[in-house]
Amino acid sequence: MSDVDGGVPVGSYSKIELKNFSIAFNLEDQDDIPNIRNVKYKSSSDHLCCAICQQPFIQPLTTVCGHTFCKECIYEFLKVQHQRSSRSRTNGSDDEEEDSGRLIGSCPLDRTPLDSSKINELFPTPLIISNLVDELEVYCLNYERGCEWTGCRWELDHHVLSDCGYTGVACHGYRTVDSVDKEENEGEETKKQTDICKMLVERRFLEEPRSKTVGDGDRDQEEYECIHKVYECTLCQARITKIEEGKHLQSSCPYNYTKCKLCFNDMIPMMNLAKHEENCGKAGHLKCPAHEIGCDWVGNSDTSLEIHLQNNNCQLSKLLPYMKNLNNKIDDLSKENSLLHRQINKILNSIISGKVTNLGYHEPMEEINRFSSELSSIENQDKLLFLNCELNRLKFELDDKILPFVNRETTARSDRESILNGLVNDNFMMKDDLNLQRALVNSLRKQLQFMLFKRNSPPGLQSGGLGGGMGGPIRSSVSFAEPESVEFFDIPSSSNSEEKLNLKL
Amino acid sequence: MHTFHKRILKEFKRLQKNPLPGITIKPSETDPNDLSVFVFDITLPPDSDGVLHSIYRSDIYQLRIKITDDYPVDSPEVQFLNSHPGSKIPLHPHIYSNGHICLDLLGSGWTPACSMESILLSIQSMLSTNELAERPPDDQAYVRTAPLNPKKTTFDYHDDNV
Ligand SMILES: [Zn+2]
Ligand SMILES: [Zn+2]
Ligand SMILES: [Zn+2]
Ligand SMILES: [Zn+2]
Ligand SMILES: [Zn+2]
Ligand SMILES: [Zn+2]
Ligand SMILES: [Zn+2]
Repeated sequence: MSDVDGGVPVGSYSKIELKNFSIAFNLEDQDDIPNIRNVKYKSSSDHLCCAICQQPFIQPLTTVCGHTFCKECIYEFLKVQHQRSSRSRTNGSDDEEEDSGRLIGSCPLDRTPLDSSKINELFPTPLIISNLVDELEVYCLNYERGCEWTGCRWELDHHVLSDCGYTGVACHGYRTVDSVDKEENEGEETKKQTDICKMLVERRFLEEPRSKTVGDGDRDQEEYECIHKVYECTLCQARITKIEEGKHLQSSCPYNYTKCKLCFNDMIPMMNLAKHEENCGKAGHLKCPAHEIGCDWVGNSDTSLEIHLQNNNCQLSKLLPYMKNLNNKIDDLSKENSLLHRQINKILNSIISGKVTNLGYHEPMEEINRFSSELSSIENQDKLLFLNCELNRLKFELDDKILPFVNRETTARSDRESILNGLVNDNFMMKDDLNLQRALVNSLRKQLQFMLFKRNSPPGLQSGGLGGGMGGPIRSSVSFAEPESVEFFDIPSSSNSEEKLNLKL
Repeated sequence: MHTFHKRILKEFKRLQKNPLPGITIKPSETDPNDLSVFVFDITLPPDSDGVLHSIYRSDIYQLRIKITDDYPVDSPEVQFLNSHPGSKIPLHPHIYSNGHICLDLLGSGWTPACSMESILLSIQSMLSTNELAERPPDDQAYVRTAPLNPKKTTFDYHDDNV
């Protein structure tokens, strides 16, 4: 990349394009979501690979025959199968099915018939598996642009959306362009006009302090100059832009001098420093091993270094192992801290979207109600216990983890306050959600008791309660929010079993 | 970029690294940045006794696999080539003289769990088990009306025992 763009005059705007690689991510629209399909894995396991894409599962679904595929892959496959079979069937007449999104096909591995609308034929893979794939280590989508981030796959979204400096975003800086306004001012010379730059740049260039434009005062937003503006390097007069500045100073500006720490020559261009230091080192110039923590000692032979290290001449070198240890610990802790931070956010998000409370199933609560109603009562009881545990765990999480976190953060930094307010609000929302879930559990418990009762009741009574029994409680479980309320069972019904149930409750 | 780019790349690398006996991928015909067309040279490996019993002897045939946008959800487009000087279409009751192949794996028998490797192996075995040096009975008629893309033809799969 040549940064000295000879043909471009100072004050004009460079057309330097953002480098696009096959999987690099650009946030052009607020709704752009990173595609993790082609992410590069640091570690992967063949057991966790989908037979269709041959990559680790993404949002895995398991079939009734026990095979697991990515959600997107199996749906794509069922769609093609479905289209093919509906084409070969009598033309038309199946529009209804198309609309409902119901796909009928078979498992790609053993041709077991599958109906995507049946939750027991195609269902979310147990959390333990989806967690395993979510925790695989991946590289940043922007690694080809130079991002060195690696992390768990589930962290990737957050990284490229809000942290990664290499994500492409619109410059949105103000430009001043010449325009000749002929119609109004005949014959008048060029007039200045402002324009907003829409070109994409890596986010890190926008994070550096930018010069504010001298505003006319009538613009409301904060304004920044377009970072594509060409100016002259103050040192060598090469024409560069903000985008190229860092690289220019580092590796091609001949007058960006720096001082060699070994020989104290202060006329070394930065671009030659590495080479110079290498030569300096070969010439016998040595640094103290503790130079990283501040020892300025340099010498020109091994013996002088030995003398420096002996006899308590260098206190700092004694601290070196300790400091290194400490640094590692700090690194680990800050890593863990940011991980926990994001995990809390993830939990919050999941709670808000109702994913965690649903036993890890991604379906809304009503779906599970429907699902469990198809199972036998004993399984139902297990589910109920689990749901209770889940509720308690969530309560614990709310009280012990998130609230202190919120409090601590409030005192820590004031510029975070808006986010925290959001968190607190979310908290309330979650509490509401929790109450709703609690109500649902209660209603589920009642249904269960009802079903148990029904099963244990004599056959004659059972047949009486069947109609209202199976359909009724399940259908109204959502509106049935107050656990203490038993009104529901008072709906006009002569059924014997329901009356008995009423007494039992 | 293809939705399943990484899978195709994986298959390509595998075929390059661990070539199947008698099958070589022609890298000159394959653009590693594109990965939509693969050309293979197919010969029959000798039997266990080291002798080649096949009617095809040691002839080399060229097979082209075109990856469609729907791959691997849908099968790729596969045919023998005779465009290169010296390359011919193998004589086989399921292979038409324009290079189209009647094989259920390339149509309704395809599943995404199959791969280019499974196609190559089943075509190779189709040749090695064949003893009839003849074209399909409807060859003349088919070739006259056949579409360029063999996937556009709905074959009636002949019985698989041939
Ligand atoms: Zn299966
Ligand atoms: Zn997949
Ligand atoms: Zn990154
Ligand atoms: Zn700009
Ligand atoms: Zn310069
Ligand atoms: Zn030096
Ligand atoms: Zn020292």
